[in-house]
Amino acid sequence: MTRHPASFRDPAGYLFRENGQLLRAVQETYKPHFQKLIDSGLKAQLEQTGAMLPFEEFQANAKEWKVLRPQPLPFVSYPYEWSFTQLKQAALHTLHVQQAAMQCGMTLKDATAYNIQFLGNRPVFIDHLSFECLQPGKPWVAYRQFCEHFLAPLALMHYSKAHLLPMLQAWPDGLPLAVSVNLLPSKSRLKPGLAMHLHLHHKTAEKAVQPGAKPAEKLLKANALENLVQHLADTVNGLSWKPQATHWASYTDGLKDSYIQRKEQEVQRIASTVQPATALVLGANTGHFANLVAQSGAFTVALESDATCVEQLVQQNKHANLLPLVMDLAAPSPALGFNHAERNSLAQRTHADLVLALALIHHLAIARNIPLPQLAEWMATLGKELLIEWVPKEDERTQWLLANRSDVFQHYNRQAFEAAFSAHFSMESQAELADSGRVLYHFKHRS
Amino acid sequence: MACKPSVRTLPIFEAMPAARKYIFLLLLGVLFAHPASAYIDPGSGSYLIQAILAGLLGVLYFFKGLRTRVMAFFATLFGRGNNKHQAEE
Repeated sequence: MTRHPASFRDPAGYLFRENGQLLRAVQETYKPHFQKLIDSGLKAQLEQTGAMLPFEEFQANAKEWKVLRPQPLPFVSYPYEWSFTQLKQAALHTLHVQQAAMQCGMTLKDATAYNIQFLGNRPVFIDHLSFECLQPGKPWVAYRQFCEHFLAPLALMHYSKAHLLPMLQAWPDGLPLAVSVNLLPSKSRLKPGLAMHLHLHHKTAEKAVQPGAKPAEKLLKANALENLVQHLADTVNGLSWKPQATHWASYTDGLKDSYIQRKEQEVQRIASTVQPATALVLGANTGHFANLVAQSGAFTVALESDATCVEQLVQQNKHANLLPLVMDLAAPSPALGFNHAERNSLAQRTHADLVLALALIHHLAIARNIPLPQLAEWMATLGKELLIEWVPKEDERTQWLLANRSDVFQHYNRQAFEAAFSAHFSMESQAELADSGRVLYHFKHRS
Repeated sequence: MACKPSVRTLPIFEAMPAARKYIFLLLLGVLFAHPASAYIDPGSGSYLIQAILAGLLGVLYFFKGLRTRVMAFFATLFGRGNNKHQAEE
C-alpha cells in the first residue's frame, strides 16, 4: 500500500494505491457524514447526474473503517492549466454540488479548485469526503476558500483580459484576498458581488484578525446560506473573459490545402491503426488535429501555450472526450506542493497511447533553443507512440522564426532529427506532406 | 455524532414564546460557541462577513422574489402570463 503524497490534509480519510488501483480509506470519525451522504440520496443523485465521480465500496481491511474505489480518471489536470471558462465551469460546478448538498442537509467542508477534475469537457466533483452534515445557522466553512480559489482569479482575468491562471502555481492554496483586492481595479468595487465577496470580505478579515482568535460562529438565519451560495453563483456568472486576438489563433491561415488534406489523411490513418485509448496533442493551436484525433474516440488531451486558442477550443466544445489545457511546452507543469509531491509534473501524469507533435518541432528547437536530442528524450517520456512532423529550416514558418536572429542551429536538419528520435523510438513510417517539404514520422517507443 | 441529534429540552424552554426561544438559542450559541471542527481555517473574518451579508442578501432576494411575484401577477392579469413568464425564465 502506498499512501498518496497529496492526501494528508483531511483527517476523514486518505487516498492510497494498492495493486495499481487508487483507493480511498475512510476513518470511523467520518461515519455519520458518510452515512448521511448515502442515506439522504445525495451520492445517488450526484452520480446519476454525472456531477460527482462515482465510487463503490471496496473490501475494507482491518485498519480502515471503509475503503472506497473511485472510478479512475483518464487524466488529472490542475487549475493552473485551465482556461478562464474551465475555471468558471469548475466554480459553478462546486456551487451546484454545494446547493445539492444543502438540499440533502449536508454542506461542503472545503471548496478548493483541486476538488474538480474534467472528464473531457465535463467538470466532475472528485472529493468524496468533502461532505459533512449541515449544522443549521452555521456559516459556510469553505467560503473563504471558494473566494480565493475561484472568484479572485476569475475577477482578475475579467478585468485584466490577461490569462493569469499560471500564477496559481505560486499560490497553491488559492489567490489570497489581500493580493487580489490590491490587483483589482477600483471599478471592480462597483460590481456588487465583487464588492461583497472580495473587497468587503478582505476588509472584514483584516479587521477580525487577532492572533489565536476563534471565529465567532454567529448563527445565520434560515436561507442565509442558500442566498450566499446563490449570490456567489450570480457573481461568477457575471464574469467573462474576451481575450485579445493573438497571431496563434490565425496561425494556420495561408497554409496550402493540399498540405492540410495530406496531413489529415495521415493523422486519420495512424489514429485508426494505433486505435489509441488516450492521446496527447502537443502544441494543439486551434485544435484542428486534436478534434480529428478526438473524433477517432481517443480521450484526447490537447496542450497549447496560447490561452486564446485553448479558450476558443473549450468554447467550441466539439467533442466530449477532448480536454484542452494551457501549457508552455518549453516549461511544462512541474511537480509542486509539499515535498514536491502534491501535484504531479506533466511527465508523471501522462503515458498516452499516442503523442502528436504536429508543426511543433521548429517552435521548440529554434524559437526556444531546445536541442533535438533533448526533445526526443522528453517526448519519449510522454507516451508509447509518436506522430511527429519534421519542419525543415527552409520552411517559410521556420524562416519567420529566424528572421531577426542569427542562425545558430547548424544541427537542425533531417538527419540529426532522425538520429535523435531513433535513439528512443523505432521508425514505423514516414510520409511527405504534399510539396511542403515537411515530413510526418510515426515512431514507436523502443521499450 | 449524528447528523440531527435528538434534543431533550427543559419544560421552561418549551413554555417560552418563539421569539424568546430564538434569542435564548442565539445567546447560548454565542456563549458556548464550540470551536470549528473544520480541518481548514475558515478565517474569523470570513465567518463575520457571512453574518453581515446574510442581512444584505436576505433583503436583495426578498425584493427579487417580490418582483417576480408582482410581474407574474400582472402577467396573469393581462392573460398572457404563462408564455411570457416562461420566456423570461
